[in-house]
Amino acid sequence: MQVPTDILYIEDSEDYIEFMKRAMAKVNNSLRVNVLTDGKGTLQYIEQATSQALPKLILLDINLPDYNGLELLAKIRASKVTRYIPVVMLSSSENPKDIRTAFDSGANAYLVKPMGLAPLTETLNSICNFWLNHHQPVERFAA
Amino acid sequence: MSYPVVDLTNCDKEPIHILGKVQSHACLVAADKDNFCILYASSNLEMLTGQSYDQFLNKKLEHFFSALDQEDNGESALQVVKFVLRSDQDSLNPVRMNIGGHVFNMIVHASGNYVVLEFEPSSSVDSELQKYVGASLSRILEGRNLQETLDSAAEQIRELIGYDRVMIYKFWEDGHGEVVAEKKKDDLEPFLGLHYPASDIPKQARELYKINLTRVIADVRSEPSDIIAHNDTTKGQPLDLTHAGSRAVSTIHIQYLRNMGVDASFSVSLIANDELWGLIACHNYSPRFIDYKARQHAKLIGQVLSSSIQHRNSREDKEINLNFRNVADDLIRKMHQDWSVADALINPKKNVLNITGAGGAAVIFEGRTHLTGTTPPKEAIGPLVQWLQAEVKQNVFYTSQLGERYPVAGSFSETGSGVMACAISRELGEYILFFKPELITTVNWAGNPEKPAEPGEDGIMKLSPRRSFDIWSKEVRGQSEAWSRAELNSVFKFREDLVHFISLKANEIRRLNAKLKEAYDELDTFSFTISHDLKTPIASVKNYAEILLEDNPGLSDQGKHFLSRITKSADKMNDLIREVMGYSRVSRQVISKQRIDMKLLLEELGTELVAAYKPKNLKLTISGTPEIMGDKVMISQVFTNLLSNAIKYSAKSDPSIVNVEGNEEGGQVVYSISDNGIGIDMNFGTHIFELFKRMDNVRDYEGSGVGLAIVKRIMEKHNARIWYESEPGNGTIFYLSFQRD
Repeated sequence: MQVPTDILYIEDSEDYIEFMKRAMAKVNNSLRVNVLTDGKGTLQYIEQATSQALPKLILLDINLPDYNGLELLAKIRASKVTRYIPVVMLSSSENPKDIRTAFDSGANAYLVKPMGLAPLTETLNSICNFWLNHHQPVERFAA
Repeated sequence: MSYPVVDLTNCDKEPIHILGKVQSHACLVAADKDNFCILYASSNLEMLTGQSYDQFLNKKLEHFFSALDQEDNGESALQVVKFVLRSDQDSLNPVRMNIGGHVFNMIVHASGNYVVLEFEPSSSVDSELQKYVGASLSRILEGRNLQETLDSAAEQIRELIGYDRVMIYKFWEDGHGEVVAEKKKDDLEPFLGLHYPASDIPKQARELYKINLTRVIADVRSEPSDIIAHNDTTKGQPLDLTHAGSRAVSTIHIQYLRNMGVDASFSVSLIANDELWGLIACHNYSPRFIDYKARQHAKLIGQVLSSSIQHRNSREDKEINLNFRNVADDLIRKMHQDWSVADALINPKKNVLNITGAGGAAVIFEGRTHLTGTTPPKEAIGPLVQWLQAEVKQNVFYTSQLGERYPVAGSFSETGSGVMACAISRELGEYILFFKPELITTVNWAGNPEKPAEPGEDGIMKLSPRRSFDIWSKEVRGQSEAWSRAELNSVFKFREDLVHFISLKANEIRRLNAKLKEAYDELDTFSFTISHDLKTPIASVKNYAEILLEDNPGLSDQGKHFLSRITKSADKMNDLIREVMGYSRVSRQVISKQRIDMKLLLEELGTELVAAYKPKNLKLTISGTPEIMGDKVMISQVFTNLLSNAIKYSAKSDPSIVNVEGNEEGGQVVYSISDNGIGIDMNFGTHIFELFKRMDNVRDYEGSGVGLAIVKRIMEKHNARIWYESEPGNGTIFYLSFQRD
């Protein structure tokens, strides 16, 4: 049973789920945010996804308890259904090599945690404006 | 006729055993050992037979014996000759014969194809001698040490032969001799302790001393008798007189004895370990003959003394070996105990010096030179080591005449004529050097050892031993006592143990270093990780405080104040974490050096800092900006830290003066950053560079206590130095000194 979703947020930290919800609410009160807290659930979600009920944006934490977010990103990009959804990766690593890897794997943006509420809100606002209202992701992932 | 060139080695070449003469007290005949035909006879044979020697040449031996007026017509004498030839033994010697009212000893030996018969006067009474010798041998063996044994042997020999002077003469390694024991008539000048040059007893004479264990020269003034050969048969070949006791003496030796005023001489060889150890040399100042029996007894005494010397030598060697070994073992043990090489080697009580009999030692190890005992001056050691490194390949090298190979040694011959060099590491120039002093700076040589060549009576240049026997001193320059076998063994063994220990130690240090580096890396990783992991919860703390404030607009002022304190503390903690990460990052970073345009760097920096701090009364001057070779990012960090400190801590001065000045001094580039701020108590010394150290007077200023630690770390990475001068209230100057290239 799919819930209509604007944004899918995959994150295991309660704190971040809370901060993100706050920030979203400030950006646009009407956005529907669906949260998944592990990799297993996310994989299930990708497999069952139908083109009728796709999120418009995915926020994906790299450090999940059971999966590496990069693996999930690869699955998202491999699925014909989900491959065009923009994905923002979240990670605590500032290492340029890690950032590079994320973009190479198909990420559309990369956010370094932790972030204060104010910068988080501003960043989200900019991303949502770009993807939710004006653009669709480029076709570079077409098969 | 050509004359041989005269030099000091001439004596070595004079063929003294085939001179073809016998001493005048003896008569000699030699016969073919197969047909007993007499082919050689001494010209004084008349003394024995009343007939001229030519009556016997080319005649049978039987004919000669019959002329000796014997009861059995010489039959028993002939049997002895046959026995000697058959059995090659001289146990029947001497044969006592009463000839013309005198008692003679006939001594028979074989020489090549001949049998040689010598006739000498007999003087002694057998049975008394026998008794006497037994007693004297036991007295010699009673000696508690070598010196006592030698003294008593000299005394016994003197009593046996009744000569005016009996000396025991010891040969040194270089062939020269020393009088080590002496018994003499009281009124004679003592020769004890005198040294004689090697040429006094030429090499081939020394070889003969090993064959003829006794030798008597009864009267140096009497004319020796020629040995006449039957020419047709012998074809002019001289008779080999090697084993003939009555053989005449080399004219050089005769003259030598005459120069000393000696009329008769007698010697007994002392042989230890198959080498001529020395001689019992006896002088008489009037002619004196010693008959065969007495000579045999003297020989026996000499043999007993020889074996005693050999025994004592080996025992003393063993003792010395053991002593050296004990010291060496102690040193090695101490090294293992203290885990230090140099400390053990230079220990003032028992040190490396005592593993040999050296007078001094130098230990060149780990870049330092330690001296102990009497050594050449320190300045001489370095060049000597360089010479050893370049010229000597052996691990243990020794010489008792360093100056011969290394002429520079002449300047310190007094302390270092002898050197034994034990290489710890030739590559590193690490050595233990043992020094022996110039042994005989002044020795009592007997006479002038430089024999002058003088024309003989016939006008032909002939080597003549010196004529003057006044003692005079000769300096034997640049020579030390020889290195003994025991010393060599000791040093060889010690080197093995030492090298083993050093390799053990080197491994241990390598292991420790690796461990330390591992721990250090771990700590760096740890501090990096932990600071990183702290960031998330702190951000959460701050975010929640903000949310709380936002969600509760009706909160009391105090509540709002507390929430803002939480936020501020979280910020402060974040800053600290960032600094610590920066600090540990410095040591993880690889430095990449380049030429840095300091003028550009400092001017940009000045602009940035002024923009950041907005100081009110700052007077910043930058003068002299020589380039620095360094990592641009890191060097910029250094100047940022020091300049912002200078601006920060002088902010309350009016005006606040900050000067940056660079200078080139020799191979160094030195920058100074001075301010007129609050200053630092110099008592804090280098503690100000430690992590999280903040001085008491900076409480009111922003800071984490990490900046100077980072600066120090960067400077260390550049092999550069940092120091400061300061006075509380009067400002601070920091100095940075970089290698120019």
